[in-house]
Amino acid sequence: MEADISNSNFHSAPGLTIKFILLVVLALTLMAIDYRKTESMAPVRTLFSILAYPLQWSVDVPFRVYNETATFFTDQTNLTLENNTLKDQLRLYEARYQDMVVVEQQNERLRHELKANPRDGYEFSMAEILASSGDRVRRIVTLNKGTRDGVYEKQVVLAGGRIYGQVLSVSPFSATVIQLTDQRHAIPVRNQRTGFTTLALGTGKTNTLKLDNVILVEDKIQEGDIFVTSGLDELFPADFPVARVVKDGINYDQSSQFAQITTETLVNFEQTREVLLMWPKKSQGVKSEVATPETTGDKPIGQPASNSAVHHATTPAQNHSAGTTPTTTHTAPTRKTP
Amino acid sequence: MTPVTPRFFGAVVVSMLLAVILSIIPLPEPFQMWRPEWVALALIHWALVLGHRVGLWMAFIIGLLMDVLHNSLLGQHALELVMVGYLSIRLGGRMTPEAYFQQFALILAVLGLYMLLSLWIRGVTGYAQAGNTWQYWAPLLSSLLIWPLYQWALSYFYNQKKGL
Repeated sequence: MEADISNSNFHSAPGLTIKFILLVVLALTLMAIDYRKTESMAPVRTLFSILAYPLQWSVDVPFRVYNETATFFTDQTNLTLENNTLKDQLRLYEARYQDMVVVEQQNERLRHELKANPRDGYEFSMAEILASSGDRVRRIVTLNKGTRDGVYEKQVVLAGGRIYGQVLSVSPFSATVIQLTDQRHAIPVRNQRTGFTTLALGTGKTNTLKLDNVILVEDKIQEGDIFVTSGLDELFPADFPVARVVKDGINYDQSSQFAQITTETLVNFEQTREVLLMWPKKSQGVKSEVATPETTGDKPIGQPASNSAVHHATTPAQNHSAGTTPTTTHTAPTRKTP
Repeated sequence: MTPVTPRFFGAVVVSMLLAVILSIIPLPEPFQMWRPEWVALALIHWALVLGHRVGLWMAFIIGLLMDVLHNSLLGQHALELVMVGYLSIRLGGRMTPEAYFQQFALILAVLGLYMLLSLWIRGVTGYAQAGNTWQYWAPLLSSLLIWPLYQWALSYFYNQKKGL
């Protein structure tokens, strides 16, 4: 051992420093390109996410095995009980669905009479959360479905009828989803009680969104108010529940005119393992409302582009005029009824 | 020159991939912030054991893999791991392999730099952590505490000829 130490020159490592400098420059270049033009690095990202897929899959195996064995060893009586409750629920929902069909038909007829755009439905598909980003700051998860299953970028992801997030990037077998609570995510919301619209920003903390710079007039926002999507960004469909104002969540600093409002998401991100992917149903090929990718750049994703918000706001007025004066032809510049 | 050889072909890569898996295993929220920096620790371990025979290119590729898994900026983990590899190769050659105290000092310095670099990059790209900043440094402590155990576990991956 002694001879070993004295024989080797510990200050020499041939070519090491050169290689180090080379790799540092390479990494810095990659970072700069990825920061400025994320889409140009998409092939590299896709390549590495295909390589990473087996790792994520192998991490998920124990959980899946546990779930399967747990299902296998469930008590017979428990299963029967559960089955019965589910059947009851199904009957209830069947009745409600019948009602819904009637309402839907009525709605379609009325829209037709008003010469309004037909309402598009949605199709859903389940996906499982394969892995969550180990990063403490980001709120990003990986799903086990990808382009192979028709997943696309900026697709809306739900969890039990509530908004979960949106698809950030897709590879053939998997997709990464950014949750509402990620620091750089923003979603336009509307107070269900008062109709007040604002942006809900992610905080990076579990199940917490904040509404920034709200000017409080009268009781626009109260504790326990529920915020739903406003649909102003034309990405998230309108009227899906998002968050609730927590107790003592309204902080009003006397020195500034703005209030800070803390809300908790209605999805429990900690315990969600299965999510719903949402596809707009193509009805008579009218318009491509949801699948309009807008380059976000440095803005938080999901923030409404100004033109789209204006565009959306003008639509009801056009409908109204078309409804009251049926002789004038409805000439909305971008959306046309067939 | 050193009497250490990897146990089998690709042992270094296999151990690094295992470390990557450890770094993405889902943990409940309270433990999340104490997750040790498994990958960086494994790289330090190999740099101390094998010296400059550890490939910086491998560190780079593993780093890119980490970037995709953690959805960080492409190249962020690559840069950090290459730096960790380089520093621990250069510093590791100057100390006795069995001296735990020296190892702790080295890990503290190298990992501290690693996390500082990560913090800087996040700050520049707009992911600065809000709220409790001391929590950010929790993995440094947990990494130091887990190190003897982890090093023992990783010693499975190489053969050491004793008593020459």
